[in-house]
Amino acid sequence: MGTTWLEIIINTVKIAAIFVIVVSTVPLLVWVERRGPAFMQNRLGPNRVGPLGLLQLAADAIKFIFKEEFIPTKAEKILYFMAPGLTLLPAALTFAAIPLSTPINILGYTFKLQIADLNIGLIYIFAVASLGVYGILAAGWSSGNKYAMLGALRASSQMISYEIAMGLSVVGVLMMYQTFSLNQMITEQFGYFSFLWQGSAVELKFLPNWGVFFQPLAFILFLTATFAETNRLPFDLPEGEAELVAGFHTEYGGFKFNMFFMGEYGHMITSAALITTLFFGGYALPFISPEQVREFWIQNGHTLLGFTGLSMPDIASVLTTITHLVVFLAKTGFWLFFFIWVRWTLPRFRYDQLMDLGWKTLLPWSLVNLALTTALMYFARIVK
Amino acid sequence: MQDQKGAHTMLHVGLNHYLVLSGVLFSIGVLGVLLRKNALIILMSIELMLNAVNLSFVAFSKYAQNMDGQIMVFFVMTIAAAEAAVGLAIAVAVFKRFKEVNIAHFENLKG
Amino acid sequence: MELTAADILFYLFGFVSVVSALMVVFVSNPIYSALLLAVVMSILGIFFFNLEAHFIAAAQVVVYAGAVMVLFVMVMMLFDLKREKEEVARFSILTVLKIISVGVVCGVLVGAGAMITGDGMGFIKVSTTEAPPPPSMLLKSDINAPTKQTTNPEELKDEVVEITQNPQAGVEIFTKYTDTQKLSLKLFSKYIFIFELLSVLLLVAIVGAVALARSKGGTHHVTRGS
Repeated sequence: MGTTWLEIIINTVKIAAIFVIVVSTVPLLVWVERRGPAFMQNRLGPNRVGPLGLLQLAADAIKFIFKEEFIPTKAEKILYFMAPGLTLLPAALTFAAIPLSTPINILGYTFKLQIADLNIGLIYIFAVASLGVYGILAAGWSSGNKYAMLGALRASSQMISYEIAMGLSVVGVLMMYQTFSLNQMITEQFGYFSFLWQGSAVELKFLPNWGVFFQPLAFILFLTATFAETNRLPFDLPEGEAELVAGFHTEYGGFKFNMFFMGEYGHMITSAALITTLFFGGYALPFISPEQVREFWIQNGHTLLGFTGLSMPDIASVLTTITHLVVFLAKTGFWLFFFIWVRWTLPRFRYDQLMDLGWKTLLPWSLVNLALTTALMYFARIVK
Repeated sequence: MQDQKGAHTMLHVGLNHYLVLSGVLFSIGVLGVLLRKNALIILMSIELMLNAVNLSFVAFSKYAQNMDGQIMVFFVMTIAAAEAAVGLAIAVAVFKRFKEVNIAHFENLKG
Repeated sequence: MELTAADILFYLFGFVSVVSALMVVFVSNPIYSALLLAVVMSILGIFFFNLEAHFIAAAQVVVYAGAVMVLFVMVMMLFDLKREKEEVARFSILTVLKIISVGVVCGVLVGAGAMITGDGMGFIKVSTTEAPPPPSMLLKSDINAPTKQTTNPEELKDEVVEITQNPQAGVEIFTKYTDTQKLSLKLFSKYIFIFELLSVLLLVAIVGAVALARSKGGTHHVTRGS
């Protein structure tokens, strides 16, 4: 059973499209990061290059490309060249398993807006995210610079510690939804807040069926852990500008530095998308399931897309997908803004405080969450 | 080689291919243990051998439709990780004391 | 010649993994060895996924490539060893004998692996009514298994009892669960004792590693006696 040529082509197009989208969201994010917090801090950000300063990032990118590519004398050349790619690769791979929207049915074909609908979607994401440590270690060691090495070791030990907290905090969510597949988890988050208590259904009409209302502690722990995983403030010590110059990417300039940047922002995008998927319903609207949206579009869709001449179910499906894509992007955009907001608000942790938080606070509380979920599911017979 | 229904050719991947790959990786691991003198490389070659064995376990589990192979892999993986951690701790302790991890320097007990 | 895409990918990844494993053994800089071993382990993760052992594939990447090899790499970066070029290049008679003996072992293993037939010469029970489904590579997921099954504890209890008592019950029950569910059904019923023992082993390993890491040493002076 090989896959047909059409499927291979469609998958290749999907991979290329999503990769390009992730990479080109990075300049937009950096622009938000410079303008938004500037307003928070009562100053203007870059506002001269292009309308609202939007072309500032293009100018920066061009500047990076034209900078001199230097290699330190004591650097290990092979790893020095590979390290930026090694940082970008896991960030891009992780995004492959996240469902962006409902599947489209057009002309008899169904294709999903998701590169790989794995039924182990969640551990795949953790597996690939844990490969992100190699880029940092390779960058720090191959620079031939003791300070870069120190920064790399700090960054990698921070990432490893918080990977554990991140994984454990999600086990409660796993136990509740009883599946690793992200698509299945989103399907379980449609509609109103409902669960089974001792066999009888309980439904609260004023809350959506999102994971955050079932697992609030897991949400807080996971949010904190992803902040640390992506090396964002307040867990910013590996790139501590005041102490280590630039941490593990001290000896990198020009385009390679840009790639590190893209890797970090790509990781941030993936984390925001993951938070949306696990705890906030993914691409689904708060109280409305995609079926209802599809019904709505079947009645009203042909005013928008009637000119294309497709059949009614096809038009409804396309419009449903677009609606849900917009919802997904809005939610992910909010969490990205939250990442940026926190960065410019909180001060930085010291390294020992950081490690204490990861091992002595987040890890025990994840276990408490796990025990609490187990007790509720097994003894009180509260299941989803 | 396999003459099951459908006349598979020798190139279509089956159980044999996975076992051959596992055997090759295992012998490369043995080669690493025998030839190298750096204690850490020897530890890594042992990890390679364990991984090759994991591959053959999973291949058998798939083709015999039995989950016991995967369970065995689960256990082997855990034990190998624990062993790697302890082995590295020993290597670090040895390095702190002797500044060397070359096993040619530790032949005091050689008759 | 009915080579599917899965076969071509198998040969490609198999070649890369063998070459990387050889480089692990023969490259002089230990850090490159460690990074190449991480590559081998990731490729093995891909093979596990191809063999429909999805959970084990992800666990392989998380545990081996993401934690154990990171530990190796970090330790070796801290050691900062000089390159030991003399290690591998010494051609004495002992080295040749070692290579020959490893070659014999390799030949035996490869021969045994290549000659094993579908029923394992009588040792393995294979369901001969239907050929095993061909492995599907990363482009499609396990589409034949529905992703969520009944989680009614009463129903599961019957199946669990049957699995523990009847070892061959596996084949019929297991066609309707995902791989993770199959693994957990067997792990938490038949092998629960070993599972708990494994947690004790991990605790012992943690205590041992921490105790060893606290040993005195240092680069300033050599202490006589503890």
